Amino acid sequence: MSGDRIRGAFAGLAVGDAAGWPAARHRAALHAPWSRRLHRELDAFAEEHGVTTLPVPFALNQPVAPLRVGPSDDAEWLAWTALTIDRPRAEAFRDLIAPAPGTPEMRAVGGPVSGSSGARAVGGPAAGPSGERAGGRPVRARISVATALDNLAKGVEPPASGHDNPHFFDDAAAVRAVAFGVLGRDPTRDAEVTNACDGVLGARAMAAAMAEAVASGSAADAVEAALAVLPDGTAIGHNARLAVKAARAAGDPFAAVPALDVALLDHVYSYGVGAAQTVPVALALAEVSGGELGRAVPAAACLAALADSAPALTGALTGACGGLGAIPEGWIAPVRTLAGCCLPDLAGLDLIELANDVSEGIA
Amino acid sequence: MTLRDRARGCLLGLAAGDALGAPAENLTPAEIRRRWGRLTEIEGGGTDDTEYAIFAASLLVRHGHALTGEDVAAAYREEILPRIAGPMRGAGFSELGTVEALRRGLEPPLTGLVHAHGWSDGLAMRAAPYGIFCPGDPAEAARLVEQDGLVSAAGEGILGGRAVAGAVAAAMTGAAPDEVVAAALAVIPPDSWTARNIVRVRDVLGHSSAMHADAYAAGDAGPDPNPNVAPNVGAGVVEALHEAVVVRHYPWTDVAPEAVALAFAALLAGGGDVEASVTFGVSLGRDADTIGAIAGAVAGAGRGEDGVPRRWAGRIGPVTGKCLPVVAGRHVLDVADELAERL
Repeated sequence: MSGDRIRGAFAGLAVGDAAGWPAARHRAALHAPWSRRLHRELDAFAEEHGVTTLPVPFALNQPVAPLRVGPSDDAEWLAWTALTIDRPRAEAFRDLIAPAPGTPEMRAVGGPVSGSSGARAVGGPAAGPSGERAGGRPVRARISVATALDNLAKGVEPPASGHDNPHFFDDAAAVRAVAFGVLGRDPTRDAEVTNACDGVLGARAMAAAMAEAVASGSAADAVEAALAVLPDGTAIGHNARLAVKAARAAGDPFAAVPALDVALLDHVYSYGVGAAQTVPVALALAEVSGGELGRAVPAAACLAALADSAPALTGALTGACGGLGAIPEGWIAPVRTLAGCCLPDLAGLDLIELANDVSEGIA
Repeated sequence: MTLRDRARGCLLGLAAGDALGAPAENLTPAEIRRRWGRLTEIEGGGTDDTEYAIFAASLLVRHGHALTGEDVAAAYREEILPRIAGPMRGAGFSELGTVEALRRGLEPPLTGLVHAHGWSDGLAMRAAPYGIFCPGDPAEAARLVEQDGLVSAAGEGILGGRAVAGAVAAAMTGAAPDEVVAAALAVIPPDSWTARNIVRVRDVLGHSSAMHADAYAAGDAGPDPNPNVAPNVGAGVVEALHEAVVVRHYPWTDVAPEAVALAFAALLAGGGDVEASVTFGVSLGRDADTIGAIAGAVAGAGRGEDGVPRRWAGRIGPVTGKCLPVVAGRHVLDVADELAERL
């Protein structure tokens, strides 16, 4: 049964990842840069002309496949974590930036840079199963990870690499913690590479919840396990209890959406991937849905500001509770194959086969 | 030099640095050089840095050393929240997030923890009055500013405030720039982003050393190893400072460990001279008004009112209250006098 729940966790995370509106934005990274520039220009046009016909990610003379429903950043980082889970964490991350011998220097994230912080795509010597390099495209990552990679390149080691970091609080590590949690392993060392404080607590909470969900299938027990590792006096601990209470009062995942928005979001900041918001949403919706992915994930996707990762975390938790068999069949085929929009070497990797390997201990 | 003179120099330097740096905020050093060469003349008014510093001073005038986070939260509720009609102009993320947290009924320290901008330099920019209030006692200045910070900041944002308050407290005794920076380091944990960044910029500028900082912390600054500091501020230093502490993959520049370190770099590069420190500080871009304000406050405390260029002082009038209506009409020199009367 735990194998089915591990497969459910991986597939569920990919379903949630795909269900949130930002997935198409991430997947559009597979298109030529001018294609996304046109999108930005159309957005400016709509603003200038007062037209409410807003642009959506589109493919002009580009492949349309990336814009179909499919997994994006979170599913790729989960897969990368599963593939590298037995390696020292800083070393695994450093492979994302170390220049490959004999290749032109590329940069891990963003534009050109001088010096030695070149990039090579994920995988490298500990090659992932996807094999082929996707043309050496750079790795794309959250601000916490991008900054941590810069820190590692400068010789700033964990935990400072995750602490001296403006996005120490984001949920990059919480997403990766799904891989640790399904195996009952501690995500702290991994989390500290890119995050600190609430960012690390979010990872511990997700890992605790995933371990319990895989073991028992009970969403209520999973949430209890997560709350047990979240101190009251922290933002994430405060918010998690607030969110669970708000969802219980609403009595239903969809009914809880406005209450969760009021309870957790101040709508002041520009990025919606704070672990102190996304992890509490996932816990609250997993519990109030009784672990039903088909009820919890759509509600998470309705919280537009958190739709990048809250649906993915919600999907991982509820996917584990119900197992692969409980995930609507129509969702599985579109989300199981990674696009390589953030980690190009993972393009084509089958997430459910990877979950099989993980559950059989051979990943 | 009297403490009143230093207090006036401190807040005048803060206001001047704020106003000088305002047009350079978020510009690259190259763009600043292209537009102004060296930006040396104040073009317009100050920003949130000056108005929030005046507000902080008013808290000290009322509560003195007994100030608590609860007092500060109450002041926000009574004097800031009711006057916000529509947008809260000129406020940073940390103040806006704090206002939302207070509106939701939270109390400090949660008000500073629940928003994602605890690292903001919003406390560091208004920390100078706490240093004025505790001349020669950086530890007490740091303790007091933390009470303010518990409402709107967390983690490194509080440490940035502690570092600046500690630096001003040391500068209020006429300490040399090296000693001032050592005093700042002595009131924050060495294992912090802020401390690491301050050490990084000091290294870039060729200043040493951990030994010196330890000596200061032990109450024995000893002879300054390099009393006539002539830091290398030639070509490439601005870029080297950016390389040392600027977070490249982040679009917001008001991260305290970065702004505070760059402000201290400006103080060291300028040898404590107000004009040299502030003009170098704003040439760094990023959160240039706050970097200028911090450098100006620390240098101004060291050199007193006469240390602030007269042409700059002439441009500093009463604040308009465009960011904080409650302080409209106040002049930094009157505020400095009020603080000095209580020393």
